[in-house]
Amino acid sequence: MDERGRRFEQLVVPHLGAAFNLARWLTRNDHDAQDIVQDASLRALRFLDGLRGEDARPWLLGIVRNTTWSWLQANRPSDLVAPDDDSEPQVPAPPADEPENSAIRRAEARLLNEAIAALPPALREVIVLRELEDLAYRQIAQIAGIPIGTVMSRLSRARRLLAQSVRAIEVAAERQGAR
Amino acid sequence: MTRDEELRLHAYLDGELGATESIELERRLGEDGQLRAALAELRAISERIRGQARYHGLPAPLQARIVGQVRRQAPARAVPARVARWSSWIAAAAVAAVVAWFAPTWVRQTGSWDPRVDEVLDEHLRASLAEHWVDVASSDRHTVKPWLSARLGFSPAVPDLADQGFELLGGRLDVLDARPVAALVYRRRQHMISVFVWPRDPPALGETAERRGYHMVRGSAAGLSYWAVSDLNEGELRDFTRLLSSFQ
Repeated sequence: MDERGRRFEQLVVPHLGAAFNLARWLTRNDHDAQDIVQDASLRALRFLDGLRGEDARPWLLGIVRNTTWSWLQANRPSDLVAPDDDSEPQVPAPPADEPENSAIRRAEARLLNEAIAALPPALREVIVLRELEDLAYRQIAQIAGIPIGTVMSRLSRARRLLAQSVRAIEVAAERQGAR
Repeated sequence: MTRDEELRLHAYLDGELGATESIELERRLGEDGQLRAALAELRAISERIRGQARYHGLPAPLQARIVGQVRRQAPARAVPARVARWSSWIAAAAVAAVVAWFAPTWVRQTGSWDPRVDEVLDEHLRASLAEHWVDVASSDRHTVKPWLSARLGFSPAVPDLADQGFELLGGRLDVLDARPVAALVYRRRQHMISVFVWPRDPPALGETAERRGYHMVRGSAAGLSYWAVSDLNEGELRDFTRLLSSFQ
């Protein structure tokens, strides 16, 4: 294997998990995410010489993010139709019936995941990059190609929407607990 | 709670607020029960997402497929020295591809790119909020200029205006409307000035704006456009931009 292949295994392969997680959350589909990560990996291999001294994880996530958005534009443009800024995306309704406490816990986790999946992709990506990848605002701005001020406003909006969903879930759980 | 306060709370929660700002916010949290409740709610939702959101693990067959593909491809890319001329052409094409890839909105621009005034101010405020003014801290323009030009596709003029009372603190990379720009940072007494610089599009000289008590002056120098933004008074900021524009 040549130098570039070695660098790929050292620098890129350790972050393929993060790459898959991001693509999976953005596409909401295992199969599509796999195709995208494979495609993005080959792009990363081509651009590897451009990676000099910087952190490889945000660099790779930037490539994955752009690959995913291009793929969505080509294959699922309706996902990207930006709802106008004041409209609230639909959050999933809590289930009407759900017995037992552990089942309620599971249902809560499932509903939170559904609420994240229901966010517009532009909000979903900042939540995934901040809360699941623990990246700094500056890194998220670079990955998503947006100013840091936009990262901050999207993050606050996404958290506000998810907090609303969580409240709705808890109210439903309390109702059932009281029954 | 104002929008600014809300963003500050998020930045505090995320460890993105500068030391002085954090101390100030903590003081206010001590006094303001509503603010404390808002922070607690934010922390709760953040922890809940971290605890319950699914982390989609990499399927092992996918990793094997990618590594296998790279191993098959990589040796073929070891190019003999004889065809170095070809490879340099390919490298140039690759650079162009990278630029097109990472900056699609930039490439699509047709020479009239202009960042929104509010974004310019937001980036200045963001630097203030995070107390992260400079990526390269130096009063020596011969340090700041090459640092910036090595990371951007252009080389901004970095005037030394210390004699005129504008101390150069350094520079940082910034992003305005998805486009990378240089930000030069000067200080006049206790007032910070950000100068956002990018390759020149049709210049709009002398244009000014005022937003939330901040003064902004637009100008151009040496083939580059800029916005200067500060809480310094307008007269002195204009003096400053005249100096910037005359510097060559």
